[in-house]
Amino acid sequence: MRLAITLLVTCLLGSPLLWAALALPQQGVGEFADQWQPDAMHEYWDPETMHRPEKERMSGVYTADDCLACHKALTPGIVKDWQASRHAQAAQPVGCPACHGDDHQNLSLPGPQICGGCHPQRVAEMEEEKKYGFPSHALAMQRAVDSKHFADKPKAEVTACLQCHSVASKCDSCHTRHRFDAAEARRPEACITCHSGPPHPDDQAYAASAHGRLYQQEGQRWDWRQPLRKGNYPAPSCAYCHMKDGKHQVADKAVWKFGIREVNPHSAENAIKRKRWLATCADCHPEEVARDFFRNLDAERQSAWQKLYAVERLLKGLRGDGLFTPAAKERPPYPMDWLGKWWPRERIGFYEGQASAFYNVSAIERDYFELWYFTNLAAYKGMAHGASEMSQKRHQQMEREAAAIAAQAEQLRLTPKKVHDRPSLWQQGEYTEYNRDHQ
Amino acid sequence: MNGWRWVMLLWLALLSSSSAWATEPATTDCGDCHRERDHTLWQAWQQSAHNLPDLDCRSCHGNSHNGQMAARARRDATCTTCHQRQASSYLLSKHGVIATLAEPENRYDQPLADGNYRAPGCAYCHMHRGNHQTGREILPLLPREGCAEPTANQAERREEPCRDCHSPRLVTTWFQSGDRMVEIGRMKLREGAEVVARIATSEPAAMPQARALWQQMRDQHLANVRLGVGHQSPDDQWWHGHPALDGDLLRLKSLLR
Repeated sequence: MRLAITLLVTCLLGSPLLWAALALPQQGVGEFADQWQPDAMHEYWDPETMHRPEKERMSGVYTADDCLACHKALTPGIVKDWQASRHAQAAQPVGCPACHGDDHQNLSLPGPQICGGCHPQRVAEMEEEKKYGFPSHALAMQRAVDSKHFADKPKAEVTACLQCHSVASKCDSCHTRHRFDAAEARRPEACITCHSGPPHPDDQAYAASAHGRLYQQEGQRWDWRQPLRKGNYPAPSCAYCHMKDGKHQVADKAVWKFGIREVNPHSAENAIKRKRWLATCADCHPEEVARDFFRNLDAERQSAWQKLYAVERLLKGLRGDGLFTPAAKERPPYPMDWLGKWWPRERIGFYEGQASAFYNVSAIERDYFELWYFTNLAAYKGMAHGASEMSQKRHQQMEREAAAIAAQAEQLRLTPKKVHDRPSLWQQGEYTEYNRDHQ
Repeated sequence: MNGWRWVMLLWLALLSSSSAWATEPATTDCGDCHRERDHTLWQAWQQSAHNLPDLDCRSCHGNSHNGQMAARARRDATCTTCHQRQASSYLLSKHGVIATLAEPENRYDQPLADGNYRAPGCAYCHMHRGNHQTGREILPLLPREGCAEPTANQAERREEPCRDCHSPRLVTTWFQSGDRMVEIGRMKLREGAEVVARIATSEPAAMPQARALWQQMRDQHLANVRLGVGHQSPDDQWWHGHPALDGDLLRLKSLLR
């Protein structure tokens, strides 16, 4: 009988309209919660906050065996995956209801809270990461939804951010469901879906390093069931260094962090973090080698910041002379930016909030955004992972881009502004208006 | 003794080469048997986007009739030889990562169905259940720019492979959300076209640059959004997609200073 009901339900699943009838959450979360309404996908990236239990299809309370009886036919992939997991093979198998609940009208998608029921140490380690501030895995979702550009832009667009930032709210970002395999999360590939792309090409940097080259040659043959401890691996993966001894946090050694602002690597706090790095490297390298490595990294960072500050000075000069087109007051402001309404100004550099100012700015500001956020960060990541050639190439690229920005600035000083209808250009247009009307 | 060894080796070499020769199909003879035996499959292939002058069965299945022809064609490497840009998007996705790591454990003699693979490879979704009508009936999952929107039937069918592992509600929500994300990209493209029209009248000297920027928005950044949505690849949805569209849209506007 139960199978018959299930089959009937399966037949009914066809119409997407049925799902459209589900009420969407009306309000966002975080600092700008009242300014935006989430996209329907949001519930899957932050289930502990947004998930709406399925009430329309099935009712009843089920045991693990009941679940398997139907889901073997309905979603065979996850059943096979679970069957191959340690959860299934344990003496007391951890079945579907242990994580999802047993009431089909009130099922949950498990996040760290539920996983922490059995894995409290790992979740506590991740919680502890919060004390180091941004950037962090544990604060990643907060960072996404509290960003001005996330709150401002249409949610169907910035839903693209949520998959990576969901690392704060879903353990299966790294231990993919329903295998939840520690061995998988130890491998570099587990990180690259998010740690790739222009602002954090960690994948390229690692692959170009001596560590990464060795992994690519022989990593398939290493025993990934081994814990991330001294002597277990011929070369480190991402997690070996950044989650030393399997500790589930990545921030307690972070000195230069994301790389978008200059730091003093010799501050008291950073000196402690550096010692942790030296202890990590000491698994394989003499201390002096590691010290040299960090000296070179600090020198590379200082060199990068000299280049960046020079461009920032140049842009601030243009700003002082009123040469940006459009000027700040001619741009659509962030709806929630009360200060920007009273005091519109162009944002230059980290401390003025340039991380959110990559749209509705003039071309020269955007070019600097890319120099700072893409090329600079690639130079940093290359050096930090021991791919010095990659870093050198990116420094050369920084110089070329800085020269192009200087040439563009010269042009702006020489060419008088024309009398274009700038409000219609910068504040109207299909996307610009949609953006203004749909947060 | 040495002489005998050489004779044996020569004989073995002749035997193996002649047997390979005997089973290697001539250029066009797959159809002699399979046109009738696998009639539906054959028809599906004929209607597919793969029915091109330079391609035939052997392009994917190889030319050794050794019982491994289907297994060979199910591997990602078969597809990525031609579809390199798509591969780089897929390989960074969570599916691509899991599929890469699971390759040694995958049994490629299994049909492309029923969650038989730890994560879906290219063919699992794009040729689900062995459907050879690639690129026409079910997929690409998101229609190319300028093509018709998916019919109700296509919208339904594009969800089928995902449902082998994911709940139908997630799958529908995901596709609808992805459609919205792509549509917002098209909005940026249309706003860009309006700006190009303004440049044509008031700054004609800037037109070559304007055209190049707009084409880059259409052919690269928007295409990246589609790839990112289709493969659930965050870099292509975001860094190579939407912010890249933003950048070129404002560069277009900045041509009107």
